[in-house]
Amino acid sequence: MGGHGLYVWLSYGAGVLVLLLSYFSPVMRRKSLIRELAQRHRRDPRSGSSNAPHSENGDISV
Amino acid sequence: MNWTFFHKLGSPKWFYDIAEKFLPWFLWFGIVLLVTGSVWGLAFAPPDYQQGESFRIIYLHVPTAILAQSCYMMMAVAAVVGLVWRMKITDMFIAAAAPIGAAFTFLALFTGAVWGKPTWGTWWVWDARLTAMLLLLFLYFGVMALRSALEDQDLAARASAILVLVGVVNIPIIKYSVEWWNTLHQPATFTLTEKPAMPPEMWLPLLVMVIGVYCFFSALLLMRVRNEILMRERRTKWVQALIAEEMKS
Amino acid sequence: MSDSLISTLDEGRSEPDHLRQDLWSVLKGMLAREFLIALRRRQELVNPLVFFVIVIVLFPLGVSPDPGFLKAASAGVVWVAALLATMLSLDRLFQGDYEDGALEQTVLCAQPLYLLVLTKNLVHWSLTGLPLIVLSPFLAVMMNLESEHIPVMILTLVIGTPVISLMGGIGAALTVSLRSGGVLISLLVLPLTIPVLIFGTGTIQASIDGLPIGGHLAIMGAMLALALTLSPFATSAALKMSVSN
Repeated sequence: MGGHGLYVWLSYGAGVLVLLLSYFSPVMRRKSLIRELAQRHRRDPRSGSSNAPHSENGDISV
Repeated sequence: MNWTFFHKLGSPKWFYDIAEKFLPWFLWFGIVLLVTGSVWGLAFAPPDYQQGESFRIIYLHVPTAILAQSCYMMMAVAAVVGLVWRMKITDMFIAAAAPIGAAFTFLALFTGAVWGKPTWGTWWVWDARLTAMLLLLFLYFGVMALRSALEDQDLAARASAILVLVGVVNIPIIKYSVEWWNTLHQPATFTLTEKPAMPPEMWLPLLVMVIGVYCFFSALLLMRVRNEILMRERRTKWVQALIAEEMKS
Repeated sequence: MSDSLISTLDEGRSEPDHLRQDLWSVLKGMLAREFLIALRRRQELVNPLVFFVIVIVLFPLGVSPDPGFLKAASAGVVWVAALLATMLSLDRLFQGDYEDGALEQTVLCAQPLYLLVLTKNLVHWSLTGLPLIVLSPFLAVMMNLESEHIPVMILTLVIGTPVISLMGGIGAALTVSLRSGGVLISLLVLPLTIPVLIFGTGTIQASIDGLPIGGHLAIMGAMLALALTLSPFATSAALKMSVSN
């Protein structure tokens, strides 16, 4: 590739890496979120479940 | 004007359902376009007369740079809507978009640096566009840092909205001042008024990549907003039902 | 202390015909209070100035004492040091008032918060930016900047440091509810002050190169005008949000 191949592959490699990471990050977050929320619900079925959410400080890490 | 859409937009559940519907489309379109554009750009587009093969980095560099800026603009719109109409969903947008915007800005900078080495002989140069991009990265980090420092979600939402807007006012100022300060980067490939200086064989794959990157970004955004909704609405019946459903499978 | 503030701010609540006069007395009262508080803690005023000097001194020590290098770097180093020293002082812009409840009173005052914020910014600048400007010629000499360019440097600092204070006020207001907002303020505000930095040093550089500086100064003036008119809106909004939690 005319000696510049390294650079091209480096860029695209970084691109693929960043895109993969940005894809899997929310996917894994979703899994752990569902697992955690299910656990909490098992431990403490909330009596206050309603359609009005509350904001709690430091309840679940983002 | 039909305000129903606007009101529906304020309901997280409605948005969650819409996101579920559109996500696969954005994701697959995005992936297909990105793969097509990359292969086209890497293998089939002609190399540049002066730059040779390293020119192909343009197919990654330009779309990510365009997206990095559009993402911030979108956040700014969300910030205005959020401050004026007080819709929760806008804050979820900002929270979800900031890390994605930062990632794309970083990628634009990285690919730009890697492209710069063979073409300009140096990894980094304090040229107008690079510097402005770097500052954009700082603005993204600022929003992320502020959100993570403020514990109260309400305050974090409104404070980050203000910060995004202050940043947006600064973007043209930053661009202008940095441009005045130094210019080595070539002028824009696409402008709204002129035809691109490249032949179609070269800019068609670029267009494909740009659209692909927008689709993929939308998919990423929807994924993150979905997570935000799940977390913030965790006490509602519909979320709890959804989680029960998910845990069964 | 709270009493005098409340009585100062109370003066604003009266009949409309006296409104203009009372606004002025409220602002005067606030100015007096701010200066009084600041002068009671003289050490806190001196710290940013010492920091300013130390940062500038670091460059010849850490990079190179070569006069040629220092001369070339002088404009930038002085400006960067001024930027950093101002950042350091922003922590205390609203923090003290937030902690003793005076900030809430200010936000609830009948007078427009916009003007009260501007007053606070004015005090902050006169206690931080102005002393920096006074010190700067001495440090410029240490950095080998030719004396004919020092007035230009002072001029850029006079126009530029208020902009830094005003933008810093936004950052300070956004983070006032945090215990240790220090570094975060810098992280938020510094990128936004880069245009001022570029034009400030650019003006001095133009003067060194023998080029006209009118255009540069005009743009800096425009930035100042923009910051003066718009930043208090953002700062007020941020203060209202931070206080109502």
